Amino acid sequence: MSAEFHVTWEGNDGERWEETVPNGITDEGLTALLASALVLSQAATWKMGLIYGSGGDGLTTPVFSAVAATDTSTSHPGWARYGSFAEVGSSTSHSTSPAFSVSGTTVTMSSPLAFTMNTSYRGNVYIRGIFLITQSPAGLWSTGLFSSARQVGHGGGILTVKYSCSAAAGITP
Amino acid sequence: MQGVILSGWFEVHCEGECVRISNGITQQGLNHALLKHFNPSLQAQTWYAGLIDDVGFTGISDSDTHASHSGWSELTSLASADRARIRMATPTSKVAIHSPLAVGENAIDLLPLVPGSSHPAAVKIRGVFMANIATVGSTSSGGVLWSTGLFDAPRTYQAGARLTIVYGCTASERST
Repeated sequence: MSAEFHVTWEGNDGERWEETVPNGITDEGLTALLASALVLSQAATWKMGLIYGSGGDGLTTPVFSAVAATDTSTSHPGWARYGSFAEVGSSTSHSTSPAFSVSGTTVTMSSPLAFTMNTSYRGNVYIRGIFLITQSPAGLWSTGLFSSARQVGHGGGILTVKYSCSAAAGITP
Repeated sequence: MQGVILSGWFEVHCEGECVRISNGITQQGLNHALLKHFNPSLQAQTWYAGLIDDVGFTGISDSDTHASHSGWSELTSLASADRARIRMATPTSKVAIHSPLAVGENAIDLLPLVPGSSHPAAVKIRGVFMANIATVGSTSSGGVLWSTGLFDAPRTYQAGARLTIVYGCTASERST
């Protein structure tokens, strides 16, 4: 059983790295899954975004401290969304939209998502991780952190993300 | 790495006695959960409980589906043509609990004893299952078998008995 983001960065300076990022599914996400399965499946729109680490955008104070299982779509005091990629929209639209396919007991993104750093950007920004969220109804599904903050500070670089998650049965005593 | 783990339980109430049984959510049920959560749609989920007959029982399997469960069959000698309605309340804090809207909607009545009838005075039941098709005895391929649960040993219930079924389910993470 696993749930993970697989992230690849290709900078326009030739830098390339990739990392498999385990993710924690939030309490809000697990509750929403039960609701979808057993009560009402809703026409939620999935969004994916980046967790801000530090630097860039005129910000000098690191805002990241931690992710938590109790984080929700409306309250995640330990982190903030990062928004200097071309696909990132307004503060309410979060980011680009993934589609999913389900096979057996595993769900995967139908195709990887690419975030392209704004070409005008030349800052020295770090991102800390990835999050997956639904809108209408809003719900934070999961957050995943890189092993350490990743620098994405060159305009035109592309961050590519894939996601997968599997489900298993357990026994309640 | 972590994934989702779903765990459930049934309670079977009959004549003042309550038996709680853990249940395994099938692969078909897990697939259903992921499909309904990750693929945008608007659809109410309706669930029903049925009884697993002791006659012919050899076992349950994670790979059982509504259409195919070769190790067991449903007890069909019931007073109603419909399975018991399992109406789930909106989950909170990672737990979904059965919340009946009307008294008796989540009950299964065994056939009463009729003098001169060949119907037995008692039946043995191995367990309970939950599916999204109402009709007793259905093996429709369009149905989803969410879960199955077994008593520790076959239980004998008298003809005419009313079994009231309660269901609950939790979601959590699984570390690997």
